[in-house]
Amino acid sequence: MSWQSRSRLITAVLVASLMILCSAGQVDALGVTPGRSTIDFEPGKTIKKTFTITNNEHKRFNAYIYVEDSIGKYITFDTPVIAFDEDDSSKQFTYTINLPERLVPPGDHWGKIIIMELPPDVDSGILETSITSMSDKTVGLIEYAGDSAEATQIVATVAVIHQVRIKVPYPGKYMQLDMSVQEAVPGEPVRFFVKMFNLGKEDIADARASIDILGPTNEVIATIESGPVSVKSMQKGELLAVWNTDTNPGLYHASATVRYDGEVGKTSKNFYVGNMLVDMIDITVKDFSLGDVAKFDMLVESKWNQPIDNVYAHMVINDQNDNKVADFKTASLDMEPFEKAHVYAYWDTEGVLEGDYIANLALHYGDRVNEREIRTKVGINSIRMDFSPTAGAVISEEGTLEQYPVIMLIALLIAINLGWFVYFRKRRS
Amino acid sequence: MRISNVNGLILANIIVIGVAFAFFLPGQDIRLIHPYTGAVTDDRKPLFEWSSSGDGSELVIDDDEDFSTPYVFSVTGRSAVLSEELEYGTYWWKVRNGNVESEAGKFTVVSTVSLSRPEKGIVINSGNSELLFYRSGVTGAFVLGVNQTIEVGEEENVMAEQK
Repeated sequence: MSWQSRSRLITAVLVASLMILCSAGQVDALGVTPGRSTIDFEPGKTIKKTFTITNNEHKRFNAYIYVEDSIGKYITFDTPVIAFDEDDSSKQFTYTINLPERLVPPGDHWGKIIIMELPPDVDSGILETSITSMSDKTVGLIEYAGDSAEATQIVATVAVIHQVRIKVPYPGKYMQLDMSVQEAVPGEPVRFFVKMFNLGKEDIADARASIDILGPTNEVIATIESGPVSVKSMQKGELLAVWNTDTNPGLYHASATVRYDGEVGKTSKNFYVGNMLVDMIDITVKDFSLGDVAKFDMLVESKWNQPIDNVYAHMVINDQNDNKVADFKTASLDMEPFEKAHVYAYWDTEGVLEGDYIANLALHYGDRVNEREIRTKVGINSIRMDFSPTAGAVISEEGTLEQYPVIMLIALLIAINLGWFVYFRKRRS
Repeated sequence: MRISNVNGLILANIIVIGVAFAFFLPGQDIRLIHPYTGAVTDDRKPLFEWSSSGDGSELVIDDDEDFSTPYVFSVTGRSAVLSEELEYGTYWWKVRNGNVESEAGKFTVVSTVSLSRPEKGIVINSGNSELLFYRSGVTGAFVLGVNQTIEVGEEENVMAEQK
């Protein structure tokens, strides 16, 4: 066999193997994006909208499309079946909404466009569907006629829904409210965003928020105000209020009262300042003799304003060759806000040699872990741990690298000036 | 022309200081790289990238083009990922450092409703939003989180919509 033939054969085998590998992992997948379209009601208006049906797994199938729910009767489209080939990663679908002259009551009206995946051999001409109503919240079951009139096949289907929401304005002035919080660490400002959607038929000239900040015992610890904004009918607006405080880390509650043109609305949200943290303050071992059981006395401190349950420490000690020589845990305890407490662990040092070790200490609390390495020196009558509490400082190495050239240039500048100075002195002398 | 010793010293200092300012101090222009203007993404925690802006920069994001009520994040380096997911919608963003500010970029976060069947009997929410999940023979729906899986019968029909 010539080398060209051999290389072609190898290439063919590789390509075939790749195709087998790809197809072995083939899965069913159907998607639609966006999952929801929102439309402001305008009497008698015709609106065209699109969404994208995704075929992430590049398989052959038919997408069957139909509508349901209260505004389904206002939605039309050209074809209910879209065929996908392996090459089609996605296809766009366009539909038309013919809004009526009047839609009641005010508020949200929903329609659903359902995209159902069917096998590629299902012909829409012989397709018979039996779809259970969505109001019963059961899923459609497809029966379709095969070649024979008596033959029926049940096909397990996957379906996704593109929601259509029509917002019908309320008479007068009406605001829908929501709040989000940009959380911060202690010392940084906490920013509160009150999102408003004017669902009324009238514009709102003046809307402003007063936000009460409540602590862990439900006491009001601060009240902040936003500036005023105006919001046109069927438009969105946002109020911003900032809480500048160096408060303790923990869970807080914000309750916002929004006054707009004589009306009042409320919204609220829980938020965190800082991160839930339990820190190891100190570790000591007293009255120790090598070969006996060492008692580790660990002082821990909660830096959180809420109770934290199930706090315990897990220590693994390795020798200089990274061989594990000890693995033990403390009992767990529940901590009150900002409490300091002792936890104890015991290590049987029979057979342990004097020397330097590395202790990997993991402090577990809630669903979090605070880990560190501690150099440990085991002596005849003592165990010393090179321990210092840390809040986990973050060092930006990128910043250091960027400053390095500048430092070099400054050093060069100093060297040049010193060189000139020495040169001048020598010339004079 | 012969440069005197003192003039030579001054010239050397000016050159070195000039090089330092030209190459190593924060650039006067901050250029946005990603998300590019007009991007449409279903990533609710997109990677923000920009040309170098130096320490003490701020990433500013708002769903209002006039940045009237922005989220402001202190950043270092040339990229950042938010710790919280963005809501669906259109956003404007920019990076600023002192008096230097980039142009504003615009991007849209869209929801994706997607169900995958990686193997028989397993369905996964492969989109970017929480779903209301329906199955044949079961009345009502339950919430399926992003990347959450559920066991279903091989003959079972399933359907999902955005929560």
